[in-house]
Amino acid sequence: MSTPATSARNWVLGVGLLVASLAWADKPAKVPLQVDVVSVSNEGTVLEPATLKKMKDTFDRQGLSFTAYRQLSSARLEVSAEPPTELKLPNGRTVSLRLDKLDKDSAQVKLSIPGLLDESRVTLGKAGTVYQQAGNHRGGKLVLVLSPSR
Amino acid sequence: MAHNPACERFWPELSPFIDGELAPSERTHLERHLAACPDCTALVADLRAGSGLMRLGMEMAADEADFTDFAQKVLARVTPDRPPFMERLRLSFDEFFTHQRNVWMTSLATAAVVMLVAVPVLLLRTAQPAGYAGELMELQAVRVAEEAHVQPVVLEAEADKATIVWLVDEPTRDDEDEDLRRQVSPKSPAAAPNLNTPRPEGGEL
Repeated sequence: MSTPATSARNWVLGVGLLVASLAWADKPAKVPLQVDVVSVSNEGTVLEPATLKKMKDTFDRQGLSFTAYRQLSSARLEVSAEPPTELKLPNGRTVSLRLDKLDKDSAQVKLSIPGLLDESRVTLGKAGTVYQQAGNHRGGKLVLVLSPSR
Repeated sequence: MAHNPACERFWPELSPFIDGELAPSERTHLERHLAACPDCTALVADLRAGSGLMRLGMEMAADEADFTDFAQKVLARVTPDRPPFMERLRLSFDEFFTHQRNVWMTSLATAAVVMLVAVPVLLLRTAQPAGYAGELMELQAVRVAEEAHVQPVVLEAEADKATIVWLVDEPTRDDEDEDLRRQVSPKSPAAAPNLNTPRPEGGEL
């Protein structure tokens, strides 16, 4: 006949094993990715937020001189192979992100914008940024800023 | 000595009577009997004398005894020598695991559960997110939609560890013609080709 102490011990062990198995259970592969949407134009002189100065300096050095940079959204997305992660853009377009490859912990993400971009493949890395233009927006352009997950 | 049989029931009360240990009602009852019984009264006197002699003898013996360090000597006999630390530790563990088996089994199980849950969570939080084995974010390929009539221009800003994918509008037929016109001298309009004539088409060989 089990004592209360034995029953309590068995209960604790059972719950612990269940929780541990859930934690280690196989789940669909997902990679985190930071995606910001920035509007660039020559209407006014603004940097919202001020951290966009680095982006402005990069663009200036490459000959893309805009005076106004506005961050419209910022999201940390979990990108998987299926289903694709969709992000609606202010210019009416939708960007679709899909985990295209995950090989030895190196992930490649594919972006597509129907009607504009069939595909743009980006290999994720610990540093660096990819700026993907995503069409026109209110006299300027929309830019997707892809960076390592924060 | 002849005695009254009725006195026998009072004899067990005589010694407590002398020591003051009788209940009030019993003491009153006995005193009433002693007032009427000279034999029991004589017996009480004998008992009092014997008790006094015994007390005197004990007091004389106590006076002769040496009570120096009495407390220490008693305590020494009560408390044994303290064993070494390791021995005491071993005994503590033995007693704990023998008599507190349920407690330590439950504690061990709880600790194991906490480790099973907490360690993976902590490791996952501190570890590099999956998919970021590469050093830099790199553009591998870009392909624009045909209907968009744009061309991708890839700008590598190595100093900024950045890649810019810019989409520029494809030049139209009119744009090409305008560029060509600009190349021709405006002072010799006759030399300008007639751009309105249809382009020659291929035919049968």
